Amino acid sequence: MKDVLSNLIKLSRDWASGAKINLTPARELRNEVILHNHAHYLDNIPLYRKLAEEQGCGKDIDIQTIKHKLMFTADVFKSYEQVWLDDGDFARMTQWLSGIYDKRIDVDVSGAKTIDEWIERLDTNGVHVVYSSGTSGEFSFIPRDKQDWELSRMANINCLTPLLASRMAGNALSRQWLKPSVKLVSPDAFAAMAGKRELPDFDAFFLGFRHGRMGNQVLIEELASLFHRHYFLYDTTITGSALRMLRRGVRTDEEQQQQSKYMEEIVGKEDTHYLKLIDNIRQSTKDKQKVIIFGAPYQFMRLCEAMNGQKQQLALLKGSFALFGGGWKSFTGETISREMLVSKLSDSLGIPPPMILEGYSMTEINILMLRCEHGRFHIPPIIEPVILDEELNPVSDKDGKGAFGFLDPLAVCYPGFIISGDYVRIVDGKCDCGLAGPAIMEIGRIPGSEVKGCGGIMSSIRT
Amino acid sequence: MTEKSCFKHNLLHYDEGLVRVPFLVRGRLIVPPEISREQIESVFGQTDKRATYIKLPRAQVVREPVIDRKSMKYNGKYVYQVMPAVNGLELIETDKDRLARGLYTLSTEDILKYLQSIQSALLTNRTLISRLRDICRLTSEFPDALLDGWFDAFPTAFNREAARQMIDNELAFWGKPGSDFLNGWVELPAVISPGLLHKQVSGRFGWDISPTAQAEKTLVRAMPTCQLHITAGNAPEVSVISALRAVLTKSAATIKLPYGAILTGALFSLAAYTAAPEHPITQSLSMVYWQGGDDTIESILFRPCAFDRIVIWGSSETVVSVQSRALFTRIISLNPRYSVSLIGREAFSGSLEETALKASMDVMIHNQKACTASLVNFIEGPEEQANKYAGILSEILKKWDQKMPGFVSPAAIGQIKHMRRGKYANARWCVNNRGEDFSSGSVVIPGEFDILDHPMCRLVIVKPVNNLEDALRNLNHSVSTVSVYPEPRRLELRDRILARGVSNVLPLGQSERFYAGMSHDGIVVLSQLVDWKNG
Repeated sequence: MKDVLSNLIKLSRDWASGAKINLTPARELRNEVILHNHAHYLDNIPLYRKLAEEQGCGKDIDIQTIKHKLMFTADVFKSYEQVWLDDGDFARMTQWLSGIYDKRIDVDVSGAKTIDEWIERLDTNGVHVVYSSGTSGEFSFIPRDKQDWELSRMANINCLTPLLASRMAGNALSRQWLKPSVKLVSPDAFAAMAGKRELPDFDAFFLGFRHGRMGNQVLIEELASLFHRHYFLYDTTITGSALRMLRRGVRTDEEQQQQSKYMEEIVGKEDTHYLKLIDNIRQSTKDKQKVIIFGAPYQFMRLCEAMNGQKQQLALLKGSFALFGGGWKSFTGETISREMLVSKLSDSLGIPPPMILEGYSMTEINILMLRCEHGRFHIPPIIEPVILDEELNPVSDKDGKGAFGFLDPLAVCYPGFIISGDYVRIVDGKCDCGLAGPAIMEIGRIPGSEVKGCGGIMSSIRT
Repeated sequence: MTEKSCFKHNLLHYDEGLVRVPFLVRGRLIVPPEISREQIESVFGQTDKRATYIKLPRAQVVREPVIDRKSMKYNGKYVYQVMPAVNGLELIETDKDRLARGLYTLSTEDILKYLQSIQSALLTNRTLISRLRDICRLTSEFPDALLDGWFDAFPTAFNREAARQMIDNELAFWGKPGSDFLNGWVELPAVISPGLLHKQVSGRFGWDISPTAQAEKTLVRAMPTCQLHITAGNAPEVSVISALRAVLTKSAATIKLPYGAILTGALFSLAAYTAAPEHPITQSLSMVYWQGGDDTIESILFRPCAFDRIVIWGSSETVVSVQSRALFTRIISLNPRYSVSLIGREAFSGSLEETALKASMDVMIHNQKACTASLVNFIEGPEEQANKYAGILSEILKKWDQKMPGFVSPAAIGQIKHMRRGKYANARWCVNNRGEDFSSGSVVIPGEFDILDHPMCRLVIVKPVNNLEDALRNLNHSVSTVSVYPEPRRLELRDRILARGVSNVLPLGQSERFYAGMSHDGIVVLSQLVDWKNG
């Protein structure tokens, strides 16, 4: 199956490079992996087996049946009881996590007092857990093993590098080796090359914390080492326990003290942090370094506001860009318009609109989708998108609206057939940007779903 | 007479998917303009396919999806209810003198006669009621048997004796019947305290200004009010109950009809208009529809002093929205609530089937849409016993499905899938299906359950508890009714349950029961709808 996956990733890389490819072989490879994963889940993931038994599904089924009957909702990653976390009952949490994992998690977690300690214990035993949170403060926990991590990293590098390279005109990465690599090199080798080459003429600025296990935080830490220098808005760690406490309220004096500490850091010194980051951006520009900034929409808005208070405007080097994601609606219910943000970024940082990129992803999926200049988040051929109607039945419209679901072949150790809480419009066909296949045009939340997204969590803390 | 009015204006007839619905606006019957189905479909065609409402220059149209009664699924067709436009200003009574001279002078006997006239208009127009029931059947989410029962009983809602009991009991004060206070001033045998200043004036000024004998009388009356009722569509009778309460307090009222139950309100309007068109009650009554949140209307109606009372039934969003915009009007909020059942361990030493059958009766109230319908059954015992009970309950619900097929909306089907494949994937599901879709069932959830996840469509959450007392921590003001088995346990727990904000603690299987003059959500509603005046 490794070869099939490798071929699928390579085809996706070809697709991302803009090559004219026939998507049918990609679909066949994808289906093969998905059916293989189904059998694997059935044998190894208890909760998936339970669902399959309830639905009367055995090993011998087709993709359509999976879409109809065997997709979990993203809530399955929070199908534990909040009281277990409240009480620090991490043995039960581990037992629960085993239910959605393809291996029995036999880790001694006695003595673990916080979410972070629990995750750390699991981590040292090869179970890498990432979490995300919504307005309720109920965390989703997604377990991955090393192979899944590597697979995800490799797939993202293979798909994103060609897409980013086309935007980063003039960069050594694209000029010297990208084109031949796209055609000849295996996904493993390509990822290794991309990792080694790094981006020496870029300094990166992350509008987040230095350490943490929240979805985007992990991505930040993965990416940071690729750049010449990197900086964080908050040069500290955000812990899971602190985040949960900030969303769900404090219960003890100790938590009250922790909360005060975080509030001082995040809210009290917010302006100082932004101004310090701006100073560093200015210095990088002086040093003739291009700049890349990652963050959530509202964080970019804050950055622009902080910039506007400065006497000197920034003029970033040509080739600098911004990449944001994590939802347009903040936890406070405030909606930021894309046009306004792009205009402000362009004015405040001198980044031309084509270099202001937007990504769409979620903790439960292993791929980042980039928005093209024609407003489409193109879905790489690795992923099988599914649109579901109100009854959660898959619909087959070429241009359809509904709940966004996906069959993610890269998820091997946890069930990767997922229905998200996002309500989207998906179109199919050739885009003016040159890419073909399904793409997401509009993204909202399904009524009743909480506002979610790593980007918004900071906003919630500020209010 | 009622049937003639319908025929004359082509009202409340089902005609190729259209039903023309009249409004009553302070005694005037307002009929919708002539609009063709093609015109309507053309406008809906330009909107989102999930749209249920369009507003035209002189009309408004609501569309409801047709439910095939055999499969109890949407069949892709719609019924369009064509209604006249609404002018918010016309719904407000500004001539208070007119009210004081007319409506407010009516006696209780006048009210009862008025209701009698409506009742006889309905009884002599059975054909119209049958026709309307048939139209409602096209789109109603209620099982036919429940809908038929409701329409059969509709005229009895205006029963003279029941109406008197409501007035006399809900407006009773100082040991006197409510009708006395509604009829006019009532002298109370109160001991008067003249206040501090009276003594000061006598002592310091030396003036004797003792009240005259006439003025010393203590007089009280229950004064009618101007009322706005914003009703909900979870049951067909809600708008009629609201209208009845307005009539019984001889108040000038505007009743906002709800999506999903417009026709039953229109039937009442038509009966009132034909039975007593010149009656002061009809002349001060409006029954209309507008889309909730329409600021062109609501900004007028929510102005200070436009109404003395606003009664809100509905979702928490509706309640919060109205409360935030009508800051200076007294609001009676009949909040969204739900009910639960507590079943003691004694059930397992008797007939568990009989207990489950009783529990199912509390579940089935208004197809589990009513606030008195039980959504959660707490079972005293270990998880294995809860599993056994859940299995039996599901079998009984299957029989209800066979005898009285219910409608499960696409949203509810989706929600149940969300639950089964998400947050409650670890729970033990015991589900009945019609075809591939959910029709009823139970799910044993020993741990946490968020009541907002409940789809309210014949699904029972079964929660094992070591002791019924453990269930008490789940009770609060959001719970309307708790039904308990067996009776000694109910009596033992009753006050502790009520102390947590619950309104009714009833024997298992009897949550639907009611009587004229019964309190509603802990409120004696008629007493809130009048102003208790001293004069």
